[in-house]
Amino acid sequence: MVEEYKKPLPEMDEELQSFWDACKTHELRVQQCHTCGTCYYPSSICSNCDDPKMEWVKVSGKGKLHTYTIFHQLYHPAFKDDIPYNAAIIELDEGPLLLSNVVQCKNEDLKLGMPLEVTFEDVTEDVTLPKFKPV
Amino acid sequence: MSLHDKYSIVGLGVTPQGKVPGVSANGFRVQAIDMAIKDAGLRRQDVDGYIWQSDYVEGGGGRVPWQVGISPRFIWSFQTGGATAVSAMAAAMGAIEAGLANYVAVVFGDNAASKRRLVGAIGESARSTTAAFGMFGPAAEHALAATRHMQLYGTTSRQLGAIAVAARENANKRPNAMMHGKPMTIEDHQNSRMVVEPLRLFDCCLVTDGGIAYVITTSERANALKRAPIYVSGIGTGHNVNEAYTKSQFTRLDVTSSKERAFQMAGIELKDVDVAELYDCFTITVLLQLEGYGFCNEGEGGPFVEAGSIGLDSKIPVNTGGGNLSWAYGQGFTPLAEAIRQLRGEGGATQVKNAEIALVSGHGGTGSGNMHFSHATAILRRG
Repeated sequence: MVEEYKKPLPEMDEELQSFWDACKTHELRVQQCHTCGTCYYPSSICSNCDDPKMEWVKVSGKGKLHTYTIFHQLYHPAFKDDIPYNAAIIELDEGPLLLSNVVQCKNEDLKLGMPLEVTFEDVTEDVTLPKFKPV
Repeated sequence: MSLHDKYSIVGLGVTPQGKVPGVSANGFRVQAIDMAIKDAGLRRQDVDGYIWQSDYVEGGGGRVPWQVGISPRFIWSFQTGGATAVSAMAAAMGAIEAGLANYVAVVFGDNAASKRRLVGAIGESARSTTAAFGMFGPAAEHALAATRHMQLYGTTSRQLGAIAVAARENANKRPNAMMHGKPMTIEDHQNSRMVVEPLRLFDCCLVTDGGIAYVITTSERANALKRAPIYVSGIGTGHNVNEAYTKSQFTRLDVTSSKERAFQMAGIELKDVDVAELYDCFTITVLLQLEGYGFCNEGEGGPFVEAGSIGLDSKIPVNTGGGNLSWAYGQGFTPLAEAIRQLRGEGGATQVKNAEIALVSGHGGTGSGNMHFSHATAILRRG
Protein backbone atom coordinates (compact mmCIF):
# COMPACT_ATOMS: atom_id res chain seq x y z
CA MET A 1 0.00 0.00 0.00
CA VAL A 2 1.72 3.18 -1.17
CA GLU A 3 1.60 6.06 1.31
CA GLU A 4 -0.19 9.14 0.09
CA TYR A 5 2.29 11.55 -1.51
CA LYS A 6 1.93 14.81 0.38
CA LYS A 7 4.49 17.02 -1.36
CA PRO A 8 3.24 19.61 -3.85
CA LEU A 9 2.72 18.32 -7.37
CA PRO A 10 3.87 20.29 -10.41
CA GLU A 11 1.41 22.63 -12.11
CA MET A 12 1.61 20.78 -15.42
CA ASP A 13 0.56 23.57 -17.77
CA GLU A 14 -0.90 22.40 -21.05
CA GLU A 15 2.20 23.67 -22.86
CA LEU A 16 4.40 21.33 -20.84
CA GLN A 17 2.25 18.22 -21.11
CA SER A 18 4.81 16.58 -23.43
CA PHE A 19 7.54 17.09 -20.83
CA TRP A 20 5.56 15.41 -18.06
CA ASP A 21 4.23 12.63 -20.32
CA ALA A 22 7.82 11.83 -21.28
CA CYS A 23 8.86 11.77 -17.60
CA LYS A 24 6.18 9.16 -16.97
CA THR A 25 7.90 6.91 -19.53
CA HIS A 26 11.26 7.76 -17.88
CA GLU A 27 12.38 9.88 -20.77
CA LEU A 28 13.66 13.46 -20.55
CA ARG A 29 12.41 15.72 -23.33
CA VAL A 30 12.88 19.41 -24.05
CA GLN A 31 11.92 21.62 -26.96
CA GLN A 32 14.35 22.05 -29.80
CA CYS A 33 14.31 24.53 -32.65
CA HIS A 34 14.85 22.51 -35.80
CA THR A 35 15.97 25.58 -37.68
CA CYS A 36 19.03 26.22 -35.55
CA GLY A 37 19.20 23.23 -33.19
CA THR A 38 19.04 25.20 -29.92
CA CYS A 39 17.25 23.47 -27.07
CA TYR A 40 14.92 25.21 -24.63
CA TYR A 41 13.10 24.40 -21.41
CA PRO A 42 10.43 25.22 -20.35
CA SER A 43 8.79 25.41 -23.76
CA SER A 44 9.36 28.61 -25.63
CA ILE A 45 9.91 30.00 -29.07
CA CYS A 46 13.48 30.04 -30.32
CA SER A 47 15.05 33.40 -29.65
CA ASN A 48 17.64 33.03 -32.44
CA CYS A 49 15.45 32.39 -35.47
CA ASP A 50 12.85 34.42 -37.30
CA ASP A 51 11.21 31.21 -38.48
CA PRO A 52 11.69 28.69 -35.67
CA LYS A 53 10.38 25.16 -35.92
CA MET A 54 9.94 23.91 -32.35
CA GLU A 55 9.64 20.21 -31.53
CA TRP A 56 9.93 18.08 -28.43
CA VAL A 57 13.04 15.93 -28.55
CA LYS A 58 14.53 13.32 -26.25
CA VAL A 59 17.75 14.43 -24.59
CA SER A 60 20.57 12.44 -23.08
CA GLY A 61 19.58 13.09 -19.48
CA LYS A 62 23.13 14.17 -18.77
CA GLY A 63 24.19 17.49 -17.42
CA LYS A 64 26.23 19.22 -14.77
CA LEU A 65 25.49 21.08 -11.56
CA HIS A 66 25.05 24.80 -12.28
CA THR A 67 24.23 25.84 -8.73
CA TYR A 68 22.28 24.72 -5.65
CA THR A 69 21.06 25.66 -2.21
CA ILE A 70 20.42 23.56 0.88
CA PHE A 71 17.20 24.05 2.80
CA HIS A 72 17.52 24.16 6.57
CA GLN A 73 14.25 26.07 6.98
CA LEU A 74 11.05 24.11 6.57
CA TYR A 75 8.56 25.72 4.21
CA HIS A 76 6.11 22.86 3.77
CA PRO A 77 5.36 20.08 6.28
CA ALA A 78 5.82 17.27 3.73
CA PHE A 79 9.54 18.04 3.53
CA LYS A 80 10.09 17.68 7.27
CA ASP A 81 12.02 14.42 7.06
CA ASP A 82 14.19 15.67 4.19
CA ILE A 83 15.70 18.68 5.99
CA PRO A 84 18.44 19.55 5.17
CA TYR A 85 17.76 18.92 1.49
CA ASN A 86 19.10 20.48 -1.70
CA ALA A 87 17.35 22.25 -4.56
CA ALA A 88 19.55 22.52 -7.62
CA ILE A 89 19.85 24.01 -11.08
CA ILE A 90 21.17 21.47 -13.55
CA GLU A 91 22.63 22.55 -16.87
CA LEU A 92 21.72 19.85 -19.38
CA ASP A 93 24.41 18.93 -21.93
CA GLU A 94 21.96 20.11 -24.58
CA GLY A 95 21.79 23.55 -23.01
CA PRO A 96 18.68 24.28 -20.90
CA LEU A 97 18.82 24.92 -17.15
CA LEU A 98 16.46 22.74 -15.14
CA LEU A 99 15.33 23.06 -11.50
CA SER A 100 15.42 19.74 -9.66
CA ASN A 101 17.15 17.93 -6.78
CA VAL A 102 20.43 16.05 -6.68
CA VAL A 103 19.80 12.66 -5.12
CA GLN A 104 22.08 9.82 -4.01
CA CYS A 105 24.63 12.40 -2.98
CA LYS A 106 25.55 13.92 0.37
CA ASN A 107 24.93 17.66 0.50
CA GLU A 108 28.59 18.19 1.46
CA ASP A 109 29.68 16.50 -1.77
CA LEU A 110 27.79 18.86 -4.06
CA LYS A 111 30.16 20.83 -6.25
CA LEU A 112 29.55 23.19 -9.17
CA GLY A 113 30.28 21.49 -12.47
CA MET A 114 29.90 17.94 -11.18
CA PRO A 115 28.53 15.60 -13.87
CA LEU A 116 24.97 14.38 -13.29
CA GLU A 117 22.44 12.19 -15.00
CA VAL A 118 18.67 12.03 -14.75
CA THR A 119 16.84 9.50 -12.62
CA PHE A 120 13.08 9.35 -12.42
CA GLU A 121 10.88 9.21 -9.31
CA ASP A 122 7.35 7.93 -9.77
CA VAL A 123 5.76 9.91 -6.97
CA THR A 124 2.12 9.22 -7.81
CA GLU A 125 0.24 7.17 -10.39
CA ASP A 126 0.11 10.19 -12.67
CA VAL A 127 3.26 12.11 -11.84
CA THR A 128 6.92 11.28 -12.33
CA LEU A 129 9.58 13.78 -11.29
CA PRO A 130 12.99 13.99 -12.98
CA LYS A 131 15.79 14.11 -10.40
CA PHE A 132 19.54 13.94 -10.94
CA LYS A 133 22.25 11.72 -9.51
CA PRO A 134 26.03 11.86 -9.74
CA VAL A 135 27.48 9.99 -12.69
CA MET B 1 12.74 64.77 -25.09
CA SER B 2 14.86 63.80 -22.06
CA LEU B 3 13.02 63.88 -18.77
CA HIS B 4 16.22 64.81 -16.93
CA ASP B 5 15.22 66.79 -13.80
CA LYS B 6 11.75 67.35 -15.22
CA TYR B 7 10.04 65.50 -12.41
CA SER B 8 10.41 65.85 -8.64
CA ILE B 9 9.42 64.03 -5.50
CA VAL B 10 7.66 66.54 -3.30
CA GLY B 11 6.33 64.52 -0.39
CA LEU B 12 7.38 61.49 1.61
CA GLY B 13 5.32 59.63 4.18
CA VAL B 14 6.81 56.96 6.42
CA THR B 15 4.58 55.37 9.05
CA PRO B 16 5.92 53.69 12.18
CA GLN B 17 7.72 50.52 11.05
CA GLY B 18 8.39 47.27 12.81
CA LYS B 19 6.00 45.20 14.86
CA VAL B 20 2.93 47.44 14.74
CA PRO B 21 -0.13 45.27 15.35
CA GLY B 22 -3.70 46.39 14.87
CA VAL B 23 -3.22 48.05 11.48
CA SER B 24 -4.01 46.38 8.17
CA ALA B 25 -1.91 46.77 5.02
CA ASN B 26 -4.53 49.22 3.76
CA GLY B 27 -4.40 51.06 7.04
CA PHE B 28 -0.67 51.61 6.53
CA ARG B 29 -1.26 52.77 2.96
CA VAL B 30 -3.80 55.31 4.13
CA GLN B 31 -1.48 56.64 6.84
CA ALA B 32 1.50 56.82 4.52
CA ILE B 33 -0.33 58.73 1.78
CA ASP B 34 -1.83 61.13 4.27
CA MET B 35 1.65 61.83 5.65
CA ALA B 36 3.16 62.24 2.19
CA ILE B 37 0.50 64.73 1.11
CA LYS B 38 0.99 66.79 4.28
CA ASP B 39 4.76 66.60 3.85
CA ALA B 40 4.37 68.05 0.36
CA GLY B 41 2.22 70.87 1.64
CA LEU B 42 -0.57 69.79 -0.69
CA ARG B 43 -4.25 69.24 -0.05
CA ARG B 44 -5.75 65.81 -0.61
CA GLN B 45 -7.82 67.19 -3.52
CA ASP B 46 -4.57 67.94 -5.37
CA VAL B 47 -3.62 64.29 -5.72
CA ASP B 48 -5.19 63.01 -8.91
CA GLY B 49 -3.19 59.87 -9.66
CA TYR B 50 -2.63 56.76 -7.52
CA ILE B 51 -0.40 53.73 -7.84
CA TRP B 52 -0.17 51.08 -5.14
CA GLN B 53 2.16 48.14 -4.82
CA SER B 54 -0.12 45.13 -4.81
CA ASP B 55 0.91 42.47 -2.37
CA TYR B 56 1.30 38.76 -2.55
CA VAL B 57 -1.63 37.76 -0.42
CA GLU B 58 -4.07 40.52 0.35
CA GLY B 59 -5.88 42.58 -2.26
CA GLY B 60 -7.88 45.72 -1.95
CA GLY B 61 -5.27 48.50 -2.10
CA GLY B 62 -7.55 49.95 -4.75
CA ARG B 63 -9.94 50.93 -1.92
CA VAL B 64 -7.34 53.20 -0.37
CA PRO B 65 -8.07 56.39 -2.35
CA TRP B 66 -11.65 56.33 -1.00
CA GLN B 67 -10.34 55.65 2.52
CA VAL B 68 -7.86 58.51 2.45
CA GLY B 69 -10.12 60.93 0.59
CA ILE B 70 -8.27 61.55 -2.67
CA SER B 71 -9.79 61.69 -6.16
CA PRO B 72 -7.43 60.04 -8.61
CA ARG B 73 -8.16 59.73 -12.31
CA PHE B 74 -6.42 56.38 -12.25
CA ILE B 75 -5.92 53.67 -9.65
CA TRP B 76 -3.19 51.32 -10.77
CA SER B 77 -1.81 48.30 -8.97
CA PHE B 78 1.81 47.62 -9.64
CA GLN B 79 3.82 44.60 -8.66
CA THR B 80 7.44 44.08 -9.39
CA GLY B 81 8.63 43.33 -5.88
CA GLY B 82 11.40 45.56 -4.65
CA ALA B 83 11.61 47.24 -8.06
CA THR B 84 8.09 48.64 -7.68
CA ALA B 85 9.00 51.90 -5.93
CA VAL B 86 11.25 53.09 -8.77
CA SER B 87 9.38 51.43 -11.63
CA ALA B 88 6.09 52.99 -10.50
CA MET B 89 7.93 56.31 -10.40
CA ALA B 90 8.63 55.91 -14.12
CA ALA B 91 4.99 55.01 -14.72
CA ALA B 92 3.86 58.07 -12.73
CA MET B 93 6.19 60.31 -14.74
CA GLY B 94 4.78 58.88 -17.95
CA ALA B 95 1.23 59.40 -16.75
CA ILE B 96 1.85 63.01 -15.83
CA GLU B 97 3.75 63.53 -19.08
CA ALA B 98 0.71 62.19 -20.93
CA GLY B 99 -1.52 64.65 -19.14
CA LEU B 100 -3.40 62.07 -17.06
CA ALA B 101 -2.68 63.70 -13.72
CA ASN B 102 -0.75 66.48 -11.97
CA TYR B 103 0.27 64.87 -8.69
CA VAL B 104 0.65 61.12 -8.33
CA ALA B 105 0.80 59.29 -5.01
CA VAL B 106 2.69 55.99 -4.99
CA VAL B 107 2.30 53.76 -1.95
CA PHE B 108 3.46 50.59 -0.20
CA GLY B 109 1.90 49.04 2.88
CA ASP B 110 2.12 45.65 4.58
CA ASN B 111 1.61 43.97 7.92
CA ALA B 112 3.72 40.89 7.32
CA ALA B 113 5.24 40.96 10.80
CA SER B 114 1.90 40.91 12.62
CA LYS B 115 0.57 38.37 10.17
CA ARG B 116 3.65 36.19 10.81
CA ARG B 117 3.92 35.43 7.16
CA LEU B 118 6.67 32.99 6.05
CA VAL B 119 7.55 34.45 2.67
CA GLY B 120 7.62 31.71 0.07
CA ALA B 121 5.45 29.16 1.85
CA ILE B 122 2.42 27.98 -0.12
CA GLY B 123 -0.87 26.37 0.83
CA GLU B 124 -0.41 22.74 1.74
CA SER B 125 -2.49 21.45 -1.15
CA ALA B 126 -1.33 23.99 -3.73
CA ARG B 127 0.33 22.84 -6.96
CA SER B 128 3.64 24.37 -7.89
CA THR B 129 6.38 23.17 -10.21
CA THR B 130 9.10 24.75 -8.09
CA ALA B 131 7.63 23.53 -4.80
CA ALA B 132 7.45 20.00 -6.25
CA PHE B 133 11.25 20.02 -5.91
CA GLY B 134 11.16 21.65 -2.50
CA MET B 135 12.04 25.07 -3.86
CA PHE B 136 10.30 27.83 -1.89
CA GLY B 137 10.73 31.54 -1.63
CA PRO B 138 13.02 34.36 -2.69
CA ALA B 139 15.68 33.51 -0.10
CA ALA B 140 16.35 30.17 -1.75
CA GLU B 141 16.41 31.77 -5.16
CA HIS B 142 19.04 34.24 -4.05
CA ALA B 143 20.91 31.44 -2.30
CA LEU B 144 21.33 29.83 -5.73
CA ALA B 145 23.14 33.01 -6.81
CA ALA B 146 25.16 33.10 -3.58
CA THR B 147 26.37 29.50 -3.99
CA ARG B 148 27.48 30.26 -7.51
CA HIS B 149 29.28 33.43 -6.48
CA MET B 150 31.11 31.59 -3.72
CA GLN B 151 32.25 28.73 -5.92
CA LEU B 152 33.15 30.88 -8.93
CA TYR B 153 34.91 33.68 -7.07
CA GLY B 154 35.72 32.41 -3.58
CA THR B 155 33.27 34.78 -1.87
CA THR B 156 32.77 33.79 1.75
CA SER B 157 29.89 33.87 4.18
CA ARG B 158 31.92 36.25 6.36
CA GLN B 159 32.08 38.67 3.42
CA LEU B 160 28.30 38.54 3.10
CA GLY B 161 28.31 39.15 6.82
CA ALA B 162 30.26 42.37 6.25
CA ILE B 163 27.25 43.69 4.33
CA ALA B 164 24.87 42.74 7.12
CA VAL B 165 27.16 44.29 9.74
CA ALA B 166 27.56 47.54 7.78
CA ALA B 167 23.77 47.85 7.54
CA ARG B 168 23.38 47.14 11.25
CA GLU B 169 26.00 49.73 12.16
CA ASN B 170 23.98 52.37 10.32
CA ALA B 171 20.72 51.22 11.86
CA ASN B 172 22.25 51.43 15.31
CA LYS B 173 22.75 55.16 14.78
CA ARG B 174 19.16 55.77 13.69
CA PRO B 175 16.64 55.62 16.55
CA ASN B 176 13.65 54.66 14.40
CA ALA B 177 15.37 51.68 12.76
CA MET B 178 13.87 48.31 13.69
CA MET B 179 17.27 46.96 14.66
CA HIS B 180 18.37 50.05 16.57
CA GLY B 181 19.98 49.02 19.81
CA LYS B 182 20.81 45.55 18.50
CA PRO B 183 24.46 45.55 17.47
CA MET B 184 25.79 42.80 15.22
CA THR B 185 29.30 41.51 14.73
CA ILE B 186 30.56 39.19 12.00
CA GLU B 187 30.60 36.43 14.63
CA ASP B 188 26.94 37.11 15.40
CA HIS B 189 26.24 36.80 11.69
CA GLN B 190 28.14 33.52 11.51
CA ASN B 191 26.28 32.19 14.54
CA SER B 192 22.86 33.03 13.11
CA ARG B 193 21.01 29.97 11.91
CA MET B 194 21.33 28.72 8.35
CA VAL B 195 18.07 29.29 6.43
CA VAL B 196 18.85 28.27 2.85
CA GLU B 197 22.54 27.57 2.60
CA PRO B 198 24.65 29.60 2.21
CA LEU B 199 22.26 32.30 3.42
CA ARG B 200 21.88 32.67 7.16
CA LEU B 201 19.16 34.47 9.08
CA PHE B 202 21.25 37.65 9.19
CA ASP B 203 21.68 37.53 5.41
CA CYS B 204 17.94 38.01 5.07
CA CYS B 205 15.84 41.16 5.23
CA LEU B 206 13.46 41.93 8.06
CA VAL B 207 9.74 41.24 8.09
CA THR B 208 7.87 44.43 8.93
CA ASP B 209 4.57 46.16 9.45
CA GLY B 210 4.48 49.62 7.95
CA GLY B 211 3.74 51.88 5.01
CA ILE B 212 5.71 54.30 2.86
CA ALA B 213 4.40 56.68 0.21
CA TYR B 214 5.66 59.49 -1.96
CA VAL B 215 4.08 62.15 -4.13
CA ILE B 216 5.61 63.03 -7.49
CA THR B 217 4.89 65.91 -9.85
CA THR B 218 6.63 68.12 -12.39
CA SER B 219 9.62 70.07 -11.12
CA GLU B 220 7.86 73.21 -12.28
CA ARG B 221 5.02 72.57 -9.84
CA ALA B 222 7.45 71.36 -7.21
CA ASN B 223 9.28 74.68 -7.21
CA ALA B 224 6.09 76.39 -6.06
CA LEU B 225 5.83 74.19 -2.95
CA LYS B 226 7.41 74.86 0.45
CA ARG B 227 10.08 72.13 0.48
CA ALA B 228 13.03 71.96 -1.87
CA PRO B 229 12.23 69.41 -4.59
CA ILE B 230 14.02 66.10 -4.96
CA TYR B 231 14.72 65.96 -8.69
CA VAL B 232 14.46 62.71 -10.57
CA SER B 233 17.60 63.24 -12.62
CA GLY B 234 17.56 59.88 -14.30
CA ILE B 235 15.60 56.67 -14.29
CA GLY B 236 16.02 53.28 -15.90
CA THR B 237 14.90 49.67 -15.76
CA GLY B 238 16.28 46.28 -16.61
CA HIS B 239 15.22 42.66 -16.30
CA ASN B 240 17.14 39.50 -15.61
CA VAL B 241 15.47 37.69 -18.49
CA ASN B 242 18.27 39.38 -20.43
CA GLU B 243 20.86 37.44 -18.42
CA ALA B 244 18.90 34.22 -18.88
CA TYR B 245 19.62 34.18 -22.62
CA THR B 246 23.27 33.57 -21.78
CA LYS B 247 22.50 31.41 -18.74
CA SER B 248 23.89 34.12 -16.49
CA GLN B 249 20.81 34.81 -14.41
CA PHE B 250 22.40 33.23 -11.36
CA THR B 251 25.58 35.25 -11.87
CA ARG B 252 24.30 38.78 -12.62
CA LEU B 253 21.21 40.98 -12.15
CA ASP B 254 21.00 42.89 -15.49
CA VAL B 255 21.96 46.09 -13.71
CA THR B 256 23.65 47.21 -16.92
CA SER B 257 20.50 48.08 -18.92
CA SER B 258 18.99 49.90 -15.96
CA LYS B 259 22.14 51.81 -15.07
CA GLU B 260 22.83 52.92 -18.63
CA ARG B 261 19.44 54.59 -19.07
CA ALA B 262 19.42 56.21 -15.65
CA PHE B 263 22.98 57.50 -15.76
CA GLN B 264 22.62 58.75 -19.30
CA MET B 265 19.46 60.65 -18.46
CA ALA B 266 21.08 62.09 -15.36
CA GLY B 267 24.27 62.94 -17.22
CA ILE B 268 26.45 61.50 -14.45
CA GLU B 269 29.23 58.99 -13.93
CA LEU B 270 29.63 56.56 -11.07
CA LYS B 271 32.02 58.88 -9.24
CA ASP B 272 29.27 61.51 -9.01
CA VAL B 273 27.16 59.30 -6.77
CA ASP B 274 27.44 60.50 -3.17
CA VAL B 275 25.28 57.83 -1.58
CA ALA B 276 23.96 54.49 -2.83
CA GLU B 277 20.70 53.07 -1.50
CA LEU B 278 20.77 49.59 -2.98
CA TYR B 279 17.86 47.20 -2.69
CA ASP B 280 18.82 44.65 -0.05
CA CYS B 281 16.39 41.77 0.26
CA PHE B 282 19.51 39.68 0.97
CA THR B 283 23.19 40.45 1.46
CA ILE B 284 24.06 38.74 -1.84
CA THR B 285 21.69 41.14 -3.64
CA VAL B 286 23.75 44.10 -2.45
CA LEU B 287 26.99 42.40 -3.45
CA LEU B 288 25.76 41.64 -6.97
CA GLN B 289 24.67 45.26 -7.38
CA LEU B 290 28.00 46.65 -6.17
CA GLU B 291 29.54 44.63 -9.00
CA GLY B 292 26.77 45.40 -11.49
CA TYR B 293 26.93 49.16 -10.97
CA GLY B 294 30.71 49.05 -11.24
CA PHE B 295 31.66 50.08 -7.71
CA CYS B 296 33.98 47.06 -7.91
CA ASN B 297 34.79 44.50 -10.57
CA GLU B 298 32.69 41.40 -11.16
CA GLY B 299 33.69 38.70 -8.72
CA GLU B 300 35.41 41.14 -6.37
CA GLY B 301 32.38 42.13 -4.29
CA GLY B 302 33.52 39.97 -1.36
CA PRO B 303 36.92 41.61 -0.76
CA PHE B 304 35.34 45.01 -1.56
CA VAL B 305 32.86 44.85 1.30
CA GLU B 306 35.33 43.11 3.60
CA ALA B 307 37.66 46.08 3.23
CA GLY B 308 34.92 48.35 4.61
CA SER B 309 34.25 50.05 1.28
CA ILE B 310 30.54 50.57 1.92
CA GLY B 311 30.77 52.22 5.34
CA LEU B 312 29.70 55.79 6.04
CA ASP B 313 33.11 57.38 5.60
CA SER B 314 34.33 55.08 2.87
CA LYS B 315 34.41 54.82 -0.91
CA ILE B 316 30.64 54.66 -1.26
CA PRO B 317 28.23 54.91 1.66
CA VAL B 318 25.60 52.23 1.12
CA ASN B 319 22.21 51.81 2.79
CA THR B 320 22.85 54.57 5.23
CA GLY B 321 19.67 53.97 7.25
CA GLY B 322 20.23 50.24 7.61
CA GLY B 323 18.12 49.19 4.65
CA ASN B 324 15.72 46.28 4.45
CA LEU B 325 18.28 44.29 6.40
CA SER B 326 18.23 46.47 9.50
CA TRP B 327 16.01 49.57 9.16
CA ALA B 328 12.67 48.11 8.03
CA TYR B 329 11.27 46.05 5.17
CA GLY B 330 9.48 48.66 3.10
CA GLN B 331 10.80 46.80 0.08
CA GLY B 332 11.85 49.22 -2.67
CA PHE B 333 10.42 52.14 -0.73
CA THR B 334 13.04 51.64 1.99
CA PRO B 335 16.08 52.67 -0.08
CA LEU B 336 14.01 55.39 -1.77
CA ALA B 337 12.89 56.91 1.53
CA GLU B 338 16.45 56.93 2.86
CA ALA B 339 17.77 58.57 -0.33
CA ILE B 340 15.17 61.33 0.01
CA ARG B 341 16.12 61.85 3.66
CA GLN B 342 19.82 61.99 2.81
CA LEU B 343 19.23 64.60 0.11
CA ARG B 344 17.09 66.61 2.53
CA GLY B 345 19.80 66.48 5.18
CA GLU B 346 17.61 64.37 7.46
CA GLY B 347 19.99 61.42 7.78
CA GLY B 348 20.71 62.17 11.43
CA ALA B 349 23.82 60.48 12.77
CA THR B 350 24.38 58.75 9.44
CA GLN B 351 24.00 61.84 7.27
CA VAL B 352 26.48 61.78 4.40
CA LYS B 353 28.02 65.26 4.22
CA ASN B 354 26.92 67.30 1.21
CA ALA B 355 24.92 64.44 -0.25
CA GLU B 356 23.73 65.83 -3.55
CA ILE B 357 23.29 62.82 -5.80
CA ALA B 358 21.74 59.57 -4.64
CA LEU B 359 21.53 56.27 -6.50
CA VAL B 360 18.42 54.29 -5.63
CA SER B 361 17.92 50.77 -6.86
CA GLY B 362 15.06 48.32 -6.90
CA HIS B 363 15.06 44.57 -7.54
CA GLY B 364 12.35 41.98 -7.43
CA GLY B 365 9.17 40.66 -8.93
CA THR B 366 8.38 37.12 -9.91
CA GLY B 367 11.68 35.30 -9.95
CA SER B 368 9.95 32.12 -11.07
CA GLY B 369 12.65 30.18 -9.23
CA ASN B 370 14.97 31.38 -11.95
CA MET B 371 16.22 34.78 -10.73
CA HIS B 372 14.01 36.42 -13.36
CA PHE B 373 13.80 39.60 -11.38
CA SER B 374 13.20 43.18 -12.44
CA HIS B 375 15.77 45.86 -11.78
CA ALA B 376 15.22 49.61 -11.59
CA THR B 377 17.50 52.59 -11.04
CA ALA B 378 16.72 56.16 -10.07
CA ILE B 379 19.21 58.99 -9.78
CA LEU B 380 17.87 61.62 -7.40
CA ARG B 381 19.34 65.08 -7.03
CA ARG B 382 19.02 67.52 -4.17
CA GLY B 383 17.00 70.61 -5.07
